[in-house]
Amino acid sequence: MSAKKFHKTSALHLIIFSAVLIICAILFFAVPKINISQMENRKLTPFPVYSWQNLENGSYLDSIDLYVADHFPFRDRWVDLVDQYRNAGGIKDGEIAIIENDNFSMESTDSTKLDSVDLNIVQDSIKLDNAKLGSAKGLMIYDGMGIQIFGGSNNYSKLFASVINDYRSTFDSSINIYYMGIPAHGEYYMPDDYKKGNSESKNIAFTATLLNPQIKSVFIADYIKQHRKEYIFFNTDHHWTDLGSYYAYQKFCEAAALKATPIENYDIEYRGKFLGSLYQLTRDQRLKEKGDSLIIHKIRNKYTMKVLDNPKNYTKGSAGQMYYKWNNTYGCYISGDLPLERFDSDVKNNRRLVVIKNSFGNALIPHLVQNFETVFVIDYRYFQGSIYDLVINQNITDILFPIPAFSSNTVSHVQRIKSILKITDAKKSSQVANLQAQKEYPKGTIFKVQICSSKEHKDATYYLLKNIPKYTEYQHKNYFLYLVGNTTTYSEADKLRLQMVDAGYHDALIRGFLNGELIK
Amino acid sequence: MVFASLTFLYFFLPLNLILYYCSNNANYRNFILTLFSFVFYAWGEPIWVFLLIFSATVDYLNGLFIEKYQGTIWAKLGIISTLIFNLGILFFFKYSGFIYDNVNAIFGTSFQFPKYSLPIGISFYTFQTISYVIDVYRGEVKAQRSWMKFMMFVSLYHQLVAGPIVRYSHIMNEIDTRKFRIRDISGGITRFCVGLFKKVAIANIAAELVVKYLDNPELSSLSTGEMWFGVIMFSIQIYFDFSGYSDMAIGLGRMFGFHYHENFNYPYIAKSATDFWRRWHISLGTFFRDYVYIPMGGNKKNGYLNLFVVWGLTGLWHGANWNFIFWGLFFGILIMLERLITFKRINKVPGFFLRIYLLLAVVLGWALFYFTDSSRLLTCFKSLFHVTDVPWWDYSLTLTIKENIYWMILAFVLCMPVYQFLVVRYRKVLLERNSNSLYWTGIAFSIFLLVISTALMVGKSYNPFIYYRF
Repeated sequence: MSAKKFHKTSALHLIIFSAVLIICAILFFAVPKINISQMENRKLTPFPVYSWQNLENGSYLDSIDLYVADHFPFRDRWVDLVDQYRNAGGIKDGEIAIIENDNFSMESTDSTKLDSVDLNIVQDSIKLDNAKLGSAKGLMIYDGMGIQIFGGSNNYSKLFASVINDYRSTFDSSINIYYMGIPAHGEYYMPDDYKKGNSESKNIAFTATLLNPQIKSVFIADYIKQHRKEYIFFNTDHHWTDLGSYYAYQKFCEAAALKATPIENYDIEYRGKFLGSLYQLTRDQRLKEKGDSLIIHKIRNKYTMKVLDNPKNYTKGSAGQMYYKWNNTYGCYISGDLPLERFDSDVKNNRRLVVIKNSFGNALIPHLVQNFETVFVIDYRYFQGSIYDLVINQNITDILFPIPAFSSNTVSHVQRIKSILKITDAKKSSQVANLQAQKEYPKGTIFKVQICSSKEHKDATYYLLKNIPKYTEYQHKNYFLYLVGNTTTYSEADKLRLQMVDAGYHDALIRGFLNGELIK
Repeated sequence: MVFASLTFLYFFLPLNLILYYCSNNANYRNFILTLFSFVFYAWGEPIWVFLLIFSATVDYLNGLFIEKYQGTIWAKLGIISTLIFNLGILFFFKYSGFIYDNVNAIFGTSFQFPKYSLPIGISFYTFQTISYVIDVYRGEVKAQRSWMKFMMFVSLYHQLVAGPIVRYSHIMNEIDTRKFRIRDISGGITRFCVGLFKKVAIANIAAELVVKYLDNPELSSLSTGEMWFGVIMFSIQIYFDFSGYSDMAIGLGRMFGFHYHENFNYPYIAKSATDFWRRWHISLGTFFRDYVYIPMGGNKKNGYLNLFVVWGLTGLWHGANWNFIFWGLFFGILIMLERLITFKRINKVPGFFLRIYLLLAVVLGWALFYFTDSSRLLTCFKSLFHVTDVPWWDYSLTLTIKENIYWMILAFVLCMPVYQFLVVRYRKVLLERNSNSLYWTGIAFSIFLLVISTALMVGKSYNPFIYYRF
C-alpha cells in the first residue's frame, strides 16, 4: 500500500471512530429519557443533586456515571447484545445450568432472595449452631425451568416456629391458626441426578413439629407432587401458577373443614405469554425459549374487593381488581403486593379469615374468597398496622400463614412477621415496644438503620446503595453492614427504619452501637 | 474516572480530542491535556487531586534545585529530601495502617490509626517523580523548567492511575514537541479498543467467576477442581485487566502524540520466573532494577541479599499486606533457584516443560496474591493440593466450563502472541495481494471491539428486580 493510501485509511479510521463516539453522545442528549425500566422493574438513576458533600465523597460524580449508563441511547438493544456475546461464549447445556448470581447472594427484598445477614448478629438470643447464610443458594436451570436452590436449615425453623407460636399464645383458642409451608419448584422438579441444596418439604415438616399442637399444619407437598405434570409452577417465574395454588387450597379446605370448589367450577381466561422474574434475573436463553403463559382460573362467586389505605381502618378503601387487567404476569393476582386488602363474598358461614402472606399467597387468595365471608389479606413485608388489632376488632375466626420455605428460612422475613403482631393498640404498643427496646440497650447507645449487608465491600455504585446519599459502612467479622441515620433514641431509629421500608428496603433493621462498636 | 466507563468513552474522550486538536498552539495543547488530566483524576479523587498537584510541585522544584547545585552536597540533600518526601507520603497513605496493625499485633498495643482512603494511583505517580528526580541528579536528563509541562508529565491521565510507570526520559522530547501523525492516531485507536475489550470482555467476565469461587463464604466446601478453576480465572483476570489498562494507556498516548514503552510482553509464555518478570509489568521491574537493585550493588555485591530486598519491596508495592510480601519473596526464591541451577542447564530442558513450570508457579503465586486472609489462603492451598477432605470435582464446574468454553479459549489464545505471529507470517502477503480489504478489516475490527465493549459497559447497569423498587 502506498503511503498516501495508508494515510487515507488512517484518516478514515479516525473519522469512523470519532463518528461513533460523537453520534452516541448526541443521541444521549437527543433521545427522550425514561424514568422507569420495564425490563428491570426499577426506577432508573436520576441525575444527581449537587451538594458539596456529595462532591467531596465522590458520590456526585459516581452518580453521573450511573446516570449515563442507565440512560444510554437504545439501552435495551445494548443489553440484548450483551446476551448474545455471553451466549456465544460457550455451549449452553440444553438441559441444565447452575447460576450463582449476585442477586441471589445478597440481602434483598424478595422472599425468595437470599438474606446474607450473619445470624449471630441478628439473633443472639437464639443459639444457632450452624449459621448458614440465608435460604436461596443460587438457581438451577433444568429443562427450561428456573429452580431456586434451597439453603435453609432447621436452625431457621426454630426461629420461625417461635414466632408462629407467639401468634397462637396471643389469641383465644377459638381462633384457628393454620401454617401452610410452601415448597417451590425444587421440591417437584429438581432432577435426582443433580440434587443441590436442602429439602424444602423436610424443612417444612420439621417446622411443623416445633409448632404448638393447636396450630394446624397444612401439608401440601405430597399432594401437589401428584400433579407435577400439570402446569402448576411457572418456568421463568419464581411463583406457582394459580392451578398449583388450587391444589394447596384443596388441602387447606380439608384442614379447615370447608368444601373446596371443584376445578370445573372456575372460568378459564387465557392472558397470553410472558417471561417472569427468573428470566429477568438471568436473561437465560433457555428460559426465554420455554417461556410461560398466564392462564387464570376465575372464581364465579360474587365479591367486593377493597384496597385499604389506612392500616387502622378496616372498612374504607378504594376498589381493587382480583385479576388486575393491566398486568399479564403473576403480578395480576389481587393486583400485586399490597399491604392490606379486604374481600367480602356472598358466602354466609360466619367465618372471617386473615391471610398473612407474601407474593406466593397472591394466587391463593381468589380460591379462599369462595369459602369465607370476609378475607383480609396482609402482605407482612409492607403492612404497618397491628394484626392483633385487626383480629380482635374484626371478629376474625381463622388465620392462615401460607409461607414459602425460602421465606420462613430468611431471618428478616421472620422478624417482619413477628413485628406486625403488635399486641394491644397498635400505636401505643409501638411506643411501648420502642421504649422497651431502648431499655435493652446500654446508655449512650447510638442507633442506626441497617439497609443491607454483604460479605464483601460495596461502594456507592452498588445498586442497593446508589440512591442513598449518605450512608456509613461498618465491618463486623467478615461482613460489611451498610447503615443510615444516627440517633440516640430507638423510636427515632424506628421511624427511619419505616421510611427505609417504604423506600423499598424491606429488610431494614435497627442496630445499636456503643463507642462505635456494634452491640450484639 | 476509569477508561472502561461510558462517561469517559462517549463524553470525556471525544471532548478532549476535539478541544486538543482545534488549535496548533503547543502551550494550549499542553494546558488542555493537563486540565483534562486533573478532571479525570478529580472524578474519582476530588480531594486528593490537590495532593497530586502539591507533590508534583515539590518534585518540580526539587529537580530545579538539584540541577542548580549539581555535584555539591546540596544536590545530595535535595535527592534525600525527595526520597523522604515521596516515600513519606506513600508510606503515610498506603502503609501506615499496615505498620500500626503489625505493631499492635506484636506489642499487644491498640494504637488507632486515622483511616484515610488510599489516593488512587499514588504508587504510580510517586515512583514516576522519584525516577525523574534521580535521573536529574544523575545528570541523565535536564530538569523541566516549565511547571505546566512538568504537571502534564505527572498527571497525564493515560497512565496516571494504573501505569505504566512512564520515565521522564522516555517522553521528554514529546513533552516539548509532539508531532501529529494520522498513522499514530489510527494505531492508537486500535490499541485502545483492544485494551478496552481485554478489560470489559475478558477481565470483567473472569472477575465474575473469581468472585463466584474464591469469594465463596464456604471456601472449604469447594472441590479441588473448582479451586484450581477459581485461581486460573484470577490469573486471567489480573493479566487482562492490567495489560488491557496498559494497552489503553499506550493507545491514548498515541492519539495525543506520546509513545510510552510497552508494559507487558505475553508474560504467560515465559519459560522462567526471570523471564516472566521481563514480560510482566515491565515498567515496575525496570524501576526496581535501575533505582534499587543496581544502586545496591546488583549481583556483584551481596547479590542474593539485594535480590530479596528488591523482591520483598516489589511485593510490598502491590499492597500493604504480608501476603504481597510473601508473593514477592516467592518470586525472589524462584529467581535465586534459577540462578543457582544456571541458565545453561535450564535451557537444556524442553521449552514445553519450562512453560508448564512457570505457569504453575505463576498461578500458585496469584493464589498467594489473592488471599489477604491467611486462613482462607491456607484453605485454598489445601484444596489445590487436595490434602483435605474435599471432592476432586463438582458437576456444576463442568457446566460452568462448558458455558464459558469459547470465551476461555479466546482468553487463553490471547495470552499468546497470536497477533504478532499472524503479522509476521501473513502481513506481507496480504499487503501485496489485497491491501484495501486488510485495512478495512482493521477498521471494522476496532469498531467491532468498541461496540462489544460498549454493550458490556451498558449491560453492567442492568439490575433487574423481582419486585418494583424505587
